[in-house]
Amino acid sequence: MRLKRSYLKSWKTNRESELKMSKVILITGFLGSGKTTLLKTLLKDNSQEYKIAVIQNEFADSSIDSIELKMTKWNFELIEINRGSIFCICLYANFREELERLVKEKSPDIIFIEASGLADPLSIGTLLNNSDNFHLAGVLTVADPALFLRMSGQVRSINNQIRAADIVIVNKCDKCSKEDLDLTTERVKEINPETSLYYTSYCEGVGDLRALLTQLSEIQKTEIRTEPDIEPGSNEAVLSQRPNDIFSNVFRTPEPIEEATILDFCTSVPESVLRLKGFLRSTEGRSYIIQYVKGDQCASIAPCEPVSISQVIAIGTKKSDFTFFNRLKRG
Amino acid sequence: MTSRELVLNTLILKSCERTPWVPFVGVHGASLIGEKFSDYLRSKQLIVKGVTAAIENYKPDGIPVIFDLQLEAEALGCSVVWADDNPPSVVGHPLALGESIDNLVIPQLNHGRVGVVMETTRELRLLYPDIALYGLVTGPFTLALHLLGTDIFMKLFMDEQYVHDLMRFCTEVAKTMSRYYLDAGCDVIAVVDPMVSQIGTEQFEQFVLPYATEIFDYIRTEDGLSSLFVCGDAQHNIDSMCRCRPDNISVDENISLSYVKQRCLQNGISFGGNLKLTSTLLLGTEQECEKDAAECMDTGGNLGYIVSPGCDLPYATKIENLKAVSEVVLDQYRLNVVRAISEFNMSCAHSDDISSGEDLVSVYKENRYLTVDVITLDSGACAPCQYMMSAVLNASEQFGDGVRVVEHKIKTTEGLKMMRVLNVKKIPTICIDGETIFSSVIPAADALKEVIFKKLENKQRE
Repeated sequence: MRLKRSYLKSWKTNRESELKMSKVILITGFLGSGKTTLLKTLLKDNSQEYKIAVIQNEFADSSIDSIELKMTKWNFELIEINRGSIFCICLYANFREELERLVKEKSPDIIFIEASGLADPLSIGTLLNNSDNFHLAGVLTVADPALFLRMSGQVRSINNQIRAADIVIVNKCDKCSKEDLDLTTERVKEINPETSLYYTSYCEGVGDLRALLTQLSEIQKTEIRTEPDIEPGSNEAVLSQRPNDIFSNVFRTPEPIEEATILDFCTSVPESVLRLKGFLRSTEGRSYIIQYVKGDQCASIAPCEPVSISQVIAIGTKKSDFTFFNRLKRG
Repeated sequence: MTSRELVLNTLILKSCERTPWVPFVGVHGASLIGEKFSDYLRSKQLIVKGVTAAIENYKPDGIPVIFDLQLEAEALGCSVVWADDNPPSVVGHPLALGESIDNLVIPQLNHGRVGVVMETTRELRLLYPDIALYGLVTGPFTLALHLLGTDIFMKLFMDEQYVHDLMRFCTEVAKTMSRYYLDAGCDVIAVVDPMVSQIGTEQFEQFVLPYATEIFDYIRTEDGLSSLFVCGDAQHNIDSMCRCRPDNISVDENISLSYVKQRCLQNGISFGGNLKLTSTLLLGTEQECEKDAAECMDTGGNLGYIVSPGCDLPYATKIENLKAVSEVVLDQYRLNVVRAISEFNMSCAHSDDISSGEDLVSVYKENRYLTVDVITLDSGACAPCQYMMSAVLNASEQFGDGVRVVEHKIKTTEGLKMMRVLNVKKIPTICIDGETIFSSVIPAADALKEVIFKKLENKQRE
């Protein structure tokens, strides 16, 4: 009898781990803006409650950060990848495999990836496409106003990171003037009109993961809405329980797209897509921000600052439906 | 024309019989021979073995000796961390640790791994006289970043003179490395400067253009040909890159190939790229790789275009995927097949006008005779298809009414639909009662007769 019970228990555990998909949250931001500080705040406030894994570039900005992280008593898995300070998508090539292995072995609720300061977040996003084990749930970008105002427009990755952000965490507010703060807000909104901003110093007060995840976008609400058994507002509802598997897919192309094709694309978002957002560059030389949340009649577009690459992330419940991105391809 | 001539002529915009193929096998060479990259890069014997394996598998027209942007940095005293399946990483930047630019010494042949690489180049030159050899040199801006670390981005604004001094030194390093490679027998010097995608055009023109131009002019005076490799979103700098006067510019999937073509050809420069490294070559299927290659070739056109991946091929790139690309580039017939299939896929991407394969198979099973479907490009126009058709007709002749042979040409919509219904992946393919029997191989007459005989026997028994 005892044997049977323990068997049942292990069966249940296995079943649960089989069903669980991890949410990946990318933490980006230019060198020295406070990515590791944010990570520490998130770990300190959440590592008892959620199973968290961290993927950090061992040598990216400063190796001291990583040593410090290792010395804390927080409960999390730390995976270090050694890719030096140069970021190239090709160097991240076997990274997907490492992620798959991590999820199978540890099944974390959340995986934070601290990207190198020169990384383009959505090109990392393409490596997460269509996985059965994880999906890209959001991008958090940390910005240091002083650094941001000086370097935005000069170093390409800074604007790309703001553009891909679901939330921009404006850090080091204690060290900057009201004018700089206003300018930062204005500039961030120019680059990415749809992003939310948090203002903080030392990344304090941004550690409430549940609030952050809910803030991340409508996707979280959609997930909760489709699962009536779970009490809204509980941590469970946001994190662990999901009615369906959720997949992410990033589409990228440097080729400009005809405006008629863009319009056609807007009206053909499949039912299974929960959220879609990104930027498109048209053959007519204009750039558009595109977004869609399940329930909308069609995706909406609005003119935005010029972009050089079209990139759109979709999150949905059916992998095969992501082929709708083919509509954006040439011909 | 040898492969080497094909590459060299294409680089200087001479029209050639076909598009050359240059796979950037670096770290992937180690994977081909089952070695750790950390051992590979330190051994002449292993690099020669890896490049040889790549040449045998992928039949390239040109190939780099190694792809390692840390070679010069390591020789200059940057601390480096090694990995088994990735290029080494620079983790310590001497100038950030207080070293002065004046104390840096241009790498000599006995510094770091420079000597090993040059000896390897000499050996490869002897072994492969007909393949174009690329010597890859770390671009001056990327080397500057290695030496100084990311502080360089701040220095661009705070201390311009310092950046100029550093770029001057890195330029001398690049010229010296170029000479070593040319002396050892390389045909093409590729200056690899991925970090230029990170800076704006204004900074490029101020801090990179004069130095890069000097390097390319130097390579020309040394009778070498040159290429500028960038990866990442550097589209905004393409015009300025053209003004550096390399013979060729090679880009990755972050830049529009049609844009690069237009800008380069207008400036009298050849160009190359931009097979997708991760989404197709590493993670994709053979079919996706073939399609990627065909699209690149259609965009690149017949003049001044070299098919290559966007950057160093990942360690675990699937061998079959690169072979598939190689076949499309080297075999016009294969290219036509891939073109026809993707055209069809485009035309029916939004339609559900395709009946299912299961339905067809159940109809076939009801029939008293066997149906042999031969999916071809067009047996009238293509040799392999013609051989396959006649093999099938000969083999089935003796069975009379028991066997019906139908050719489906994928040049027609009907043929393409049939290909999809039968889930055929390669051309030509023989299906019997809906089941793929021979794919892309022309069977011996006896083998084919035997299969038909057995299938017919089973049918009669049922």
